[in-house]
Amino acid sequence: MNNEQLDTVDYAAGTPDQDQPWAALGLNEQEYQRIRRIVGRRPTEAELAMYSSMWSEHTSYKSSKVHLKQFGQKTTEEMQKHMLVGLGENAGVVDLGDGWAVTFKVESHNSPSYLEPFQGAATGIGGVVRDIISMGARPVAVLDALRVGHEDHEDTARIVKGAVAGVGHYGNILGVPNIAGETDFDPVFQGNPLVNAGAVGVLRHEDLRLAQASGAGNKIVLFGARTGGDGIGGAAMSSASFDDEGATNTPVVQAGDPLQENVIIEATLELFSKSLVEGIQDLGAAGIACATSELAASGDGGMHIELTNVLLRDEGLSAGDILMAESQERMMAVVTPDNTDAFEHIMHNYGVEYSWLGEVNDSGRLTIDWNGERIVDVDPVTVADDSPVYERPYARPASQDALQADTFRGSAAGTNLPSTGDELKAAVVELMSSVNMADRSWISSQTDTSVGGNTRQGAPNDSGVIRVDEETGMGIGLAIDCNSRYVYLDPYQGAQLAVAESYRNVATSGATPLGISDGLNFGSPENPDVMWQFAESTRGIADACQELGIPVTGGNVSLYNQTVDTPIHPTPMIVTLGRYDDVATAVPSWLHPSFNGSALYLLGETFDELDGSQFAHLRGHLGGTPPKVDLAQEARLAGLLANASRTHMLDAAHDLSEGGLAGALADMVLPAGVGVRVNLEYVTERDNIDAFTALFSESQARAIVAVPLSEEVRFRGIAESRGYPALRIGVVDADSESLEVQDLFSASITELREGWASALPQRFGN
Amino acid sequence: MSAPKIGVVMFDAATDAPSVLRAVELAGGTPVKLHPKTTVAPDLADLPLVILPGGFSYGDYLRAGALAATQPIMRVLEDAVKAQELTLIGLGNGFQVLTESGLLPGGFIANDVPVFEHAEVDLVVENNTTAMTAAYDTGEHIRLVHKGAFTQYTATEEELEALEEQGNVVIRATESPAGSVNNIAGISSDDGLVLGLMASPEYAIEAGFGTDHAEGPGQGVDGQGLFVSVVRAAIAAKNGVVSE
Repeated sequence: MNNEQLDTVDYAAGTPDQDQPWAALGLNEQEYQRIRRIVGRRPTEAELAMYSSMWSEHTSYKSSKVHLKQFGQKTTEEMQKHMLVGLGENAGVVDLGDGWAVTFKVESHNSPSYLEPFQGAATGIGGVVRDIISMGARPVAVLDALRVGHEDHEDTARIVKGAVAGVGHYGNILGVPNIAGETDFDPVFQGNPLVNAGAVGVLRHEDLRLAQASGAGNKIVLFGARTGGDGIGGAAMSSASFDDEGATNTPVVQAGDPLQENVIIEATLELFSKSLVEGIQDLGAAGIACATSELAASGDGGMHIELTNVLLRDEGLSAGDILMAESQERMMAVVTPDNTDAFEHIMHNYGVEYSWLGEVNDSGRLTIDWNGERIVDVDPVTVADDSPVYERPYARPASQDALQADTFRGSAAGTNLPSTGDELKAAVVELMSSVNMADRSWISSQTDTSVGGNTRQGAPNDSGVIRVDEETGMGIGLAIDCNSRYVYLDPYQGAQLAVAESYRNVATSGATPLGISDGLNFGSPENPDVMWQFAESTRGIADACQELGIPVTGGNVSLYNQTVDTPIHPTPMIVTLGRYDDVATAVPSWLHPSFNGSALYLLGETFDELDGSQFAHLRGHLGGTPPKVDLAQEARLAGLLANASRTHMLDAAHDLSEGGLAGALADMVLPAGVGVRVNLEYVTERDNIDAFTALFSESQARAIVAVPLSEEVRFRGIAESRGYPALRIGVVDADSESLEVQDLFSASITELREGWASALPQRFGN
Repeated sequence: MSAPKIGVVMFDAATDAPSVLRAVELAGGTPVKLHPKTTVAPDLADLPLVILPGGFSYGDYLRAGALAATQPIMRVLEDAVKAQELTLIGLGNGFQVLTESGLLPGGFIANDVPVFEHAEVDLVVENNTTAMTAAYDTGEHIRLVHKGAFTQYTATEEELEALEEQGNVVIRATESPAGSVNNIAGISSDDGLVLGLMASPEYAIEAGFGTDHAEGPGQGVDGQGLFVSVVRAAIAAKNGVVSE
């Protein structure tokens, strides 16, 4: 409202022809006209700001909704049995038994993280943690997944160093351990990196609250940080792509204050434990506009707000700015009149600022006044829920056939493959020195994994494990995964493979998978090729979850991830949550010196599947079809692993994924420098493959387990009774100080470690 | 005998405080949460020992430990120490609060590699006559979590000389992850009433949730000794035995 005339409802009614900046706010002509029809006049500036933010792709899911529906539709009653709250809330809630529940979510913070990696990543953590606390849960762990450009591109260090430090900074000061994550380098993410942040929280059933404003007369309060000009138009920005000159809109990237959030967590949880709030919502994208309209729309439908009551950091903000600002560390709550004194008392104790903004009513309208003049008068449902829904056209790209026909074996890159012992050894060393396989401790050591004292295991394990109940040891395991190259080659199968890998990672660590949350990162929905990738991926996830019998509990969609016209590889990140009766049975995925002498078993079969593999990537090839997915087999493997770990048969277990058997063996050997001796003869014979394929193929539903000699008979027994292929391929030999593949090569841990340990710090270290 | 009370100051964002409370309890003490705005001594009347826990007090804004050092309770604690009525122990960020308050010599600067690092550190107990080391043997090797971005201990040459000569370097790292001078990890004031340790013993108190150990991942519980020492010191002080 830069003009002197405040754009009130009355003024708008009398000035129907005034020009409005709908295009600059990310709306198209039809959407603008639709808003005019709904409001019955031209919208005021404040109303236009609300609609444009709430109808942005980022907030409204207008292009993705029609595809996301199937997550609910394909969830059977059996799959629902552990769900306390399903899709649609800030985050789904899953029952853990004994009165405990868990809620988890992954969110993208891609475009801010490209503009300002440190703050973008930091506020990514902050935002997803507030989603968790607004469900009444105490955050117990965070995780992150990063996709960045080529390791040697001049801009990559800026992104990696900033994002890694930002994720660490925010979570560390919150005092929430970071227990899982993954990072992948690929040139396709150069101009549009992905920063996905996840959080998990636990709560008692009785503390569960939903975001809704019910009960006429109840008070609306905003608490936490003051409102400034941060991130105005952020939701619209996240719904546009980057062009050559940076962002299409250039809003301020919001800055985070983890100290403030740390205090808000404690204050909010005390509000819950004393039952002082009826409903609560965090302020994220589209700020107050989003929180008021969503709370009102999901409650009794009426709310009145006096916007001048909002505490400001910058007194010069206009009403529209205040409605849209994305200042961090703010929460909105609904409090009964009886509880306002007690609410204020808690705010004073924690030194948290708050202001009463208005109250719930039964008018069916969301009205907002500014200095006593009405600037918003809308039906909140039309803002929050009635955004246009698009059935975007999609079609399999014409180029997909050629892409799939271009197999690794048939390409120039796939000739002269390593076959002698020396060549295979050199290939293993090269693989483990590549940035996508190298040691992640440069990243994970920048986060506090211990804080809270309940971390059973974090990086570099297949999944992070956190104890929930100190009395019984009951706890959870979490993993986040997605192989974007697989999804690019075949979005349906690739998305299923992402589910399979995440599920398998939780299972190898000994947990029983309960549900997934997805973070769907794709290019522009207006591109039919991209929309096809989206449609296929969501179908893949829904079908995979149905077959595995675990529900999608929530998620997040980020579209328009592309540079100029080049979309990113489709990246549906999958977080799987699993449960332990007692986290003492969790199994690490690396070899500890105390495991010396244990037998190594390879579970599952190996096929000639190198398309989309890390080895092909190393050779600069991407084409063909990804490994075949067999979800029934994945479920059998998970069952076997859960049984074996629960009954203490396993010292270690590691899933086979990127880098195949070679990658998995090196992953097990390198963290603690504990050697192994293996023999591939039985594998190559049984599966009718050569040693190269045995080492580098990325066939699914496989794992390596280390079994103490005393447990071997029992373990072979259960593998056999469950009909799961298991081959004894070697032993843990701590004294050998090498990864030895008998009759082929022996790579000393020293030579393997050199490139593996230095790949990231050498490029990005300080 | 009832479990002795041990004070724990709950600075905002002292993220290690919950684990310190638990560690005190597991060692047989009764933790008492102290509000940083406390200005009255009575709260401390029957508390012979107070711990400043680690984490990121006040977000480490300005400088690690600097804002915590200005909290009202620090004046109360300082007076009690000066009156020889209190033993004050700072762990991790709490140690930084003590140097920022001038209660211990030296100070902390950015790590050699200037980013936050979470690591495990091998330490040697060099003096087992203090309130935080009495349960260890002199020369005992222990492994604890070390974390932070500003954890490099530094001091003037005179301060170092004095520390070393008085035997006030209580715990030393075999190799400081932060590059601390003389690998100093834990120090004591001359009167033994103020102690600081740049490490987090509270994450090595429960098997399975501890540091690396010969018996297996996470099996290390070397931090228990520190809290057992603290509880013993509190009992001794309560019984009128002068702290060593």
